Amino acid sequence: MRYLLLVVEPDEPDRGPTPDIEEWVRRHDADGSRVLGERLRPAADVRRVRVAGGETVVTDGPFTESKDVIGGFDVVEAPDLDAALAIAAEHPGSWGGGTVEVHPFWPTGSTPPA
Amino acid sequence: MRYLMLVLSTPEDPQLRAEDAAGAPPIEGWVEKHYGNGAAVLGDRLRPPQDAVGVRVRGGKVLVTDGPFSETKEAIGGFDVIDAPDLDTAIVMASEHPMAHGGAIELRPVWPLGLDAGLDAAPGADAGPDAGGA
Repeated sequence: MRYLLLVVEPDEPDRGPTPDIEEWVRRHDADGSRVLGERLRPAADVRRVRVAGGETVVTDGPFTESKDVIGGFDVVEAPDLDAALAIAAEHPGSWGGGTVEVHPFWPTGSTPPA
Repeated sequence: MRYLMLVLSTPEDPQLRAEDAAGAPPIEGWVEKHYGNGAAVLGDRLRPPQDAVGVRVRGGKVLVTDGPFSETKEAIGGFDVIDAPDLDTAIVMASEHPMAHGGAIELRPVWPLGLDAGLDAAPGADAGPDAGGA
């Protein structure tokens, strides 16, 4: 079962790599639970794209008053939700001022989980 | 340059028009084209916002909160990680997605930490406006 982890944290333009995040990435790459992940640029660099009346409309971020931003994401593979939550709790993004949102995949054509 | 593309449903968007949603191209064509040529790397539909779970660690305790996390009806219905040579190309890819017609697509540029060997750490991979600030 796959999960999208969204790391929601204060929108600070100079967020850098820390030993903690390097350790988390290394560990979960090694055990095969981390499929892919990246840090993301600050909210001001986000673009929203819509098509209206045949025209593409692009809007610059940020889109909320919130001081938090999706500062990064990871796709993880876990046997069940509890295991995914444990991986999220080990993520430094859930420490201090941040939250890691765990979004379960919902593959097209699959039945909802019990 | 990679982007996290968030596929949003935006039912409260006052500019949303039924005729735009009705004219959206089918998702199958988008998937076939962009996953076929390798521009899209990984993606899927996501379960509804109430099935998302927030995890915080405070004072050594793990606090778990059930979604949804926002007061609005806006929801992340899915995502794709895409690889595009520049923002303009990413915008074209996003505009071809059916939910650009029936909702909105958010493009969030990656900001490589340089932890992964290879592609992400390659010189010039971090081409954002504030590149090199980390």
